[in-house]
Amino acid sequence: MYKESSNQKLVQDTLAEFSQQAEIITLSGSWLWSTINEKNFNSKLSQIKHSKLVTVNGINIDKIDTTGIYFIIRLIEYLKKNNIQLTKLELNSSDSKLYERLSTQSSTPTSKQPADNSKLLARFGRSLVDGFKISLSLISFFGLFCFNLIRFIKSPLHLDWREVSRSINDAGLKGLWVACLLSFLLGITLAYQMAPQFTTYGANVYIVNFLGIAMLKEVSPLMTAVIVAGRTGAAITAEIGTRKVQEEIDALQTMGISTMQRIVLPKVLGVMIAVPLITSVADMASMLGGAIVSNSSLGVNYSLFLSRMQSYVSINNYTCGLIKSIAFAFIVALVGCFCGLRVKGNANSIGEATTKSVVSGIILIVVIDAIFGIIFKALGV
Amino acid sequence: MKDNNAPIIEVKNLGTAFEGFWVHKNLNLTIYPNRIITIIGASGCGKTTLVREILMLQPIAEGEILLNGEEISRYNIEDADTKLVLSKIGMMFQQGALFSSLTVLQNVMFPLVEYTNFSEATIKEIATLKLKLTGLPESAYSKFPKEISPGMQKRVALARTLVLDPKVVFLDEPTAGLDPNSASDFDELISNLQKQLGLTVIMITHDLDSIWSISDEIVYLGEKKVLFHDTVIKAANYKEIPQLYDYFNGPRGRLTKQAHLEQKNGGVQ
Repeated sequence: MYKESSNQKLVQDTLAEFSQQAEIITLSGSWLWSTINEKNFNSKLSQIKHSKLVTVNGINIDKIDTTGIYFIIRLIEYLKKNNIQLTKLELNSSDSKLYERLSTQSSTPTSKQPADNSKLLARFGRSLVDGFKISLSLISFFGLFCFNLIRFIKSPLHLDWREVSRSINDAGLKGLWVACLLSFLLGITLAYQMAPQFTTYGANVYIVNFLGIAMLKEVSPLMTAVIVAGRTGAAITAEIGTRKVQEEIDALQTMGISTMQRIVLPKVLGVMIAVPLITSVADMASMLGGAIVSNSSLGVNYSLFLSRMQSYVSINNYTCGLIKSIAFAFIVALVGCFCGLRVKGNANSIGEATTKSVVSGIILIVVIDAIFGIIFKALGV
Repeated sequence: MKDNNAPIIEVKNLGTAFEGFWVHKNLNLTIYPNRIITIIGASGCGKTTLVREILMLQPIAEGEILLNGEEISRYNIEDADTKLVLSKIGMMFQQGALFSSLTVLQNVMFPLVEYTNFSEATIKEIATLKLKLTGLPESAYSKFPKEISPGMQKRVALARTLVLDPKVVFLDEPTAGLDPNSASDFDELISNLQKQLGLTVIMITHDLDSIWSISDEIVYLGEKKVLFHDTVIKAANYKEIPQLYDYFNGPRGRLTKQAHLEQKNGGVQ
């Protein structure tokens, strides 16, 4: 930017100056936004000697623009304030026309200050109320979704199945590798960290039981859901938000088409189909990672690992993880859609909504996970 | 109009290519200061592209563009000096391109905050002055662009364009999407500001009323170059280029032409 530019070869214009001789204030130089130094102007202003009558001579001004005129207006207002009578303002004919045009407009603006929300307690209260309102509207959104789900179950052919398959592709196939890689690495890490504990007690083979419960029931579904929240949740919010800004959502409404049926339902269903599938593959990847470490540092070879898994790791662990992953997928997609539809018409709010969607998606996932933990414990699975 | 002035913008042998397809080839255009010039031409003939090239928003394939005799087309866009040159040109985009996260007043203050060291109060007052020049009611100053009407948005966009006192102002479809009253008010505003601030206004428009009422010259783009450049009345009666003749004498054009000619003759006939 010019402010920081030291090379001023393009600024050949001289600086704006004014000087006072007895009763004449002479303006000289260029009075442009690029050549006026406000500090200099102010200090010169305070040096003006207070005589009764003053003439302002602006004939010698090289160039002037509206900013320059503004400063001349300021000079004259200063004179008025200090009871110095202006006898004459001399300007070139074209400059004086501009001066007249602008000086009739000039009056200091009566700008209203926005409501004071700097008070800490007030801000806290407001954000609490906002949070409460958002939770309420999320619940009503959930209700509306359930209502539409029933309509879908009554006539499943009305749904845009191509949209569903696109959603499965976006959320599932494209996120598969990331989810698998992460689960695989977590399997390796977890087994590797636990290995010394198991060898201490000579309970090497129990690594299989441990991995079976930890990975299948907890880590894989959670990690996959977090990845989906980051990838797909954000994408859903951004897409719907953009459509909202471009009034596509309003257009749908004017055609009498339900946004829920057309946009929300296919996305949520697609994600709910895709996530359990990725979770299953991620389960396999994590067990593979665990098996590799068990083989190399615990002396549990692959065939032992597999047979042990078959007899000691209950299938319930896998089904619990799968049920959880479906719930996670539902939450992520629903929150994504909800945040997207709440976007207001400017570019900033899309970014805000996307952030909110991912953060609240992940928080809700962990909360739901805890609730599931309690339920499964109570059920004894 | 002073023809003896030095040209403010010169475009020499300009060539633009998009993926092997020439949009402009050997395009020459000379623009003299202190007038309103309208660029017309069929949709997709490269009007906006030409303007974007003069504004250095788009690289050119061949030829050169001179602003005040200085070749700007080869400047490095990131250079601070280039930015200063660019501040001599202003552009009002078709949709206004106002920053949606800033209020109206902040939008107009923005260039001054970036470019000058003035105090905030001063900048606020200069911005207010510009907004008043465009006739925007004061109640709109603290609103966000989304909250005001399209006509007001255009006024804010114009104020922001004018805030650094550019010598050349480009307007892309200034009256598109406005109701006839707002459109003619806006035409008047452009014409007044052009005279008061000594601007060179280059506009792209399809609004025949704007062309007749405020435009001094017509530039007709076609066949990848400037086919015609003269006054409006000559353009309307020029028969060598059928498309240009139809532009002014087609079913829509004829009505506007008649109305404006009658108005100019003071209703003598």
